[in-house]
Formats: sequence, structure tokens, C-alpha cells
Amino acid sequence: MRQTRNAGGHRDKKGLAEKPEIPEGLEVFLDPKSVAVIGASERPGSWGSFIMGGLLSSKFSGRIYPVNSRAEQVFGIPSFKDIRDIDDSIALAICAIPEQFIEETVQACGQKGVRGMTIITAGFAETSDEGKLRQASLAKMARSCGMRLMGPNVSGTFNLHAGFDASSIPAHYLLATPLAAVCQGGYAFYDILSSGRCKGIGVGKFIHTGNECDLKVTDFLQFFGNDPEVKAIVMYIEAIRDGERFVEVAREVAGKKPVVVYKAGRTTESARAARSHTGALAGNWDIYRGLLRQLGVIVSPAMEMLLPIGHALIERPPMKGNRTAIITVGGSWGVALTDSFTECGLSVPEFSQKLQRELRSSGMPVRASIKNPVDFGASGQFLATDFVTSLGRTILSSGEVDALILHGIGRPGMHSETTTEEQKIFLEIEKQQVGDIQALEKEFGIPVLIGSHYNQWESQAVSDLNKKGVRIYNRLYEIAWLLSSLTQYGTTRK
Amino acid sequence: MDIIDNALKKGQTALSEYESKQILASYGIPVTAEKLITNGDELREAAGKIGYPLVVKGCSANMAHKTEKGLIRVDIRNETEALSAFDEITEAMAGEDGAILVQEMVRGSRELVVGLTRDSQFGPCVMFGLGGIFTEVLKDTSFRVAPLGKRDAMEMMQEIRAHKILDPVRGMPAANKDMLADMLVTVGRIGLENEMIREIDINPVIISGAKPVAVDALVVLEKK
Repeated sequence: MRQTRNAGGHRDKKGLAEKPEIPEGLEVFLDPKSVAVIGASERPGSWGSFIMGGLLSSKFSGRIYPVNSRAEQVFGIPSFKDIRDIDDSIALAICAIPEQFIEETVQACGQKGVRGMTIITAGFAETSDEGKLRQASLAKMARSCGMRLMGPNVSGTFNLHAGFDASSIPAHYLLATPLAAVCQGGYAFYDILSSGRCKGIGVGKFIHTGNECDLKVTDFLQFFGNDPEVKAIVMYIEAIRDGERFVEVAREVAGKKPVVVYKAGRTTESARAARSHTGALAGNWDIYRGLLRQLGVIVSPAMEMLLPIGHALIERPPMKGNRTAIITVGGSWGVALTDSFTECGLSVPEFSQKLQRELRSSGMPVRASIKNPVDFGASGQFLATDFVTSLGRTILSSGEVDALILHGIGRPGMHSETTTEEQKIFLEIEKQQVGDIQALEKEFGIPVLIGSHYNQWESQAVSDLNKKGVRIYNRLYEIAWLLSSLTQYGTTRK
Repeated sequence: MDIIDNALKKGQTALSEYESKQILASYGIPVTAEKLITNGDELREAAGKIGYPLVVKGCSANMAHKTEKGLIRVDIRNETEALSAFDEITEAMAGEDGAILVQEMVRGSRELVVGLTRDSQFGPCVMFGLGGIFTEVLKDTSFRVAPLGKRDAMEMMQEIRAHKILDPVRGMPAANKDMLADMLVTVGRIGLENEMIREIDINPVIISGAKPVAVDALVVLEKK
């Protein structure tokens, strides 16, 4: 099916601007008053137990009703044989049962007057054409009862701000942040979310749309676009199924808050048999990449960068250009960072003569490079608490750069009873230096990033700073990609 | 458009180079000065109007890949060369339905491609990239979904790896990016306004001096 008016068409044939219609009934997937878990179970490893575990781990204030044809109770909660037996209205039904029972269950939920239904069960469009037809008829059945469907083939939803976790990860592994995630894939994402907790990253609201027989990523992109609790949206997309609407919604939302997308399945193979060179060269990823950029969406270069980029975009000022200044402890970090930055489209400009003179006169010895990168390590002034901050201030005052990076901080090892006084003093000085230079970010409205090769369990300084809320980035490409995203966000249209 | 309707009525699956460029020209895209001819007299007249040096090509809706089939003669300096090119190409076409196209020889060593394709989800998409033989070899291209703003067009030119080819290179002036951007925006519009156009290749677009000119073009039509 081709459209005369395309996806990019934010205007109709008469040239009138269209406002995408706002879908209804989405909030039950994030803040339901009552939940039925169909297929609820205590059997370890079952989805029925995962979802019950999630719900019971959170401070959910709504009512929970297990539904199980055999059990009297699940995790101590009285269970029902049939959802229609429950003497209460049900906002959301989460369904983890064998696929042969799905049709009758959707029908039962419809009869019960359920508002939304999450179908965890797999084995539909992702496996066969018959499955495709089956899930389409599920959507039709649900629509006729005024019920919305999530899935099939999903892993749940959560909203930590409302104490609601109907996912397979208990809430204490997750971190409520102003980020929201809208994903076509889910289970893999939980690894990213739960491992991010100790680094202070995560999402407060999570939606997994799976096969999208009814609700699609576009619907929740729009929903979170209008949600004041959500400051940025990260998305994992394999294939958009409502292209025209997605374009309109993404353009609108990306104009309001940062939207970061990882497009998975980056095939460059063309989707259609083409007679022209253009048709043959139009790979799926080529078109997505161009389109996302066009919409003002930030494209994440890697799946695991979605959260770090999302956090950076809401926590740091945007970059007004691509010029970076680098201060390092260890000259080679400067050379290697310059390589990574350049490959990501950033520049590391040589400072003006005037700025170099200022840096020299502020105490940088002749042996230390000051052209950019600046080799703080060669200055020998490790014990001067305010020296590196004054270098940073001089550089940021010059107006010659759009971001500053201090990389190479931290000594190896955690402190213990054998730690010497000298080591303790050094640690305090380093923490003060890093805290002070990072604070320049607020003062100047220019991003100041701190990098160290050490994780928080490998270096006491990194651990302490991390606990204080100072983000420490561990990998050079991570820093390069973050700065590149901040540049893209700061320099594209809003 | 009449050209498209007529072509579809005749069962064509694509437009000839001449017809393709008429569509482009009607949207204000700069194309080569050219004329379709069928005999020696018309050839002389066309040559008089366009001026040497000339390019002579076989022109038919059924023929892509003119170079491979020996249907192009370039840098024709005089009438003798023109007439012999006419004879050779007529013979090479071997009774194929079509005519001979006489066109101005556009000089310039920078060749680009501008194209259009349709995505099943996002509709008409515009492509920009390195043209000529490099299009397929290097695959150095960028895409945007129509309609394009001028800024989109500027960004997509900057996105190809070889974007510096548009800057002043080896004594050549910078390419007129403004005109190129207009071309990209317009090709998107053509896609939006003509649902029976399935794909477009404008390849090469030659940078002549600073100005881009559509030197060869192919419009592929939807099957009815």
C-alpha cells in the first residue's frame, strides 16, 4: 500500500496542519487501580510468577487478583478460577497462559469490562502467518469491547513513580528516573535496566509493545510526550508499523523533549525489487537513519548507550557546537580521546595563543602540553586543590569550546585499614578537585564530563564520587558518543 | 501529468530519458538542452541550436544501461561525427522502438546522484550521493523522507562521506549547494505529487562550473 501523502507529510492535501489524534485508554498500563494476573503462579521460572513477583515487590496500592484454574491462592492471595468471578472492576489484565487459551481469555476479559490487557504469551505474528491473522482478530475482538491490547509476546510494563511493577524484574533492582522507555523488545532491556541501578541510571516508566497487534510504540511515544513526569524518552525500535503516524508524533514529541532511538536490525538490504539505483540502495537502516535525524530524534549508536544518552540529555546542558576541550591525567588519554572524538564528528581545536598564554601563566609548566588536550598529569600539581578547576574555568571562559572533559582520574583499589594517611589525603584532594571542576558545568552552562577507566568497585575515588552523584564515564567511546548526542541535540531544530 | 498518463496507456513501465527530463524540467530542475530526432536533417537543425560539442544517445523507454549497450557517443565535435554517431546508434538500437537524443555536452568532473524511492512505511524518500560509476561501487548515499525542508537537504549533502567534493576542489569552484538543495526538495515534491512515479534516478547530476545539471534521468512507473 502506498501513500500519496507520505509520512513526512505533516500537512494534508489542502496544506492544513494535522494534529495526531491522541489515543485513549493507555494509562491503565501504567497506573491501574486493579490488576488481574491470568495464569498467576508460584512455579519458579514461570511468567505467572515473574509478574506476581514484580507486583508484590513494588509499593502497588491497587488491588491484585490472581486468576488460576487450579490454585486456591497464589503467594497467599486468594485466586479465582475465571476473571468473570471477580467481584470488582478490573482495569488491567496481564495474561501469561498457553497460547491456545488466548482467544477465550480475551473474550472473557472483554465480557468482564477490562480496560487493558497485556498478553505476555508468545507464538503469534513472530512465528507464522497464521499467528499474524490470529493476533489481528484478537485486536478486533478487544476493540469491539472497548479494550486495548499490549502485545502479544511482551514482558510487561512498569511505572515506578506510581509504585506499579508488572514486569519480570522486582522493583528493587530498578531505579525511578524521569526517563521513560518504549520498546518493541523487552526482556533484553531488563538486563540494561537492572544493571544500570548501581550506576544511578534507569527508567521510571517502561512499556514493551512486542508484536503490536493493537497498541504501538507510537502510541506511548505520544503518551509520554504529554506526561510531565517524563523528561526524556528512550526507544528500542525494530520496525515501525504505522509510519505516517510515527513521523507526525515523533516530530511533535522530539520538539518538546529529548527522544533517543536505537534502531535494531540495521540491514542495508533494500526492501523491494528495484529498477533504479536509488531503489536498490535504499536499505532499511539508511532510510531510518535519515528519517530519525530529520525528525530531530537522537539516534543511539548502540543499544547499551540508550540510557547513558537519555540521562546526559536531561542532566547536562546541550552543546551549542562540536568543539571540545580535554584535560587528562595521562597524556595518552588525550591522544586517544582526540581519536574517538574526531571519529564521532567532534572537534578538539587547538587553543588560541591568548588562551595558551593564560594557561601557561596560571602555572602549567613548559613540559606540559596546553594546546588542547591539556596534560594536567604533567603539571605535577596534584596536591593543589583548586589548580585543575582554575584551568577549567580559564578554558570555559574563553568561549573557544562547547564542552570540557577531565579524564583519567582515580587511583586503583579501595581503601581499607591498611590505607596510609597520605593516600587518604590524596583521595580527599582528588574528590574535591573533581567535584569543583564538575560544578563548573552549572556555572557556565557548558557540559563538563568526568572520565576514569576505573569502575566504582575498582577505585575508591570513583566509588565515592559516584555515591555523591557525580557521574564518572568509563569508556572513551561512551564519552565521545555522549558528547556527539549533546551536540546533535543542541544544534538541531527544536 | 500527461507524459505519465500517456506512458501508462502505452504500457510503459518507465519513462525514456527524454520524457523523464521533461518531468524534471517542468518542476524547474535544470536539465541538459536536448532534442529528439529521427533523421539527418533534424540532427543538423538540433546541432545548430544546441551547439557543439554534443552527446548523441539512443533514447527509449525500454532501455536502461545505455553505456553497456553502446548507445552513447560523447564529445561530438562536428557534423560528420554527429552523422556517423547517428548511424551507429540507429544500428545498435536494432529496430527498438525509440529515437535518437541529441544533447549538449555538459562538462564537469564531479558527478552526483539524486534519486527517489518509496518506502512501504514512510512513503517517498529522496536520496543524495556520489554519482556515475561510484554510485554502486561506493554506496556513499544519504536519505530523507519527503517532504524535505531546505535544511534537511543541506544536512543530507553534508552526510555523505565524500561531502568535501562539494567544496572548492583542485581549482574547481564550490558546487552551488543552494541549487542542489532545491533539486533534492523538488524531487521529494515530485514523489508526493505523482503517485504513479515509483522511483527516480537522476544520475549523473554533473556540477558544471558551480551549477548542477541533470544529465541523465530515469523515471520508473508503478505497475497499473
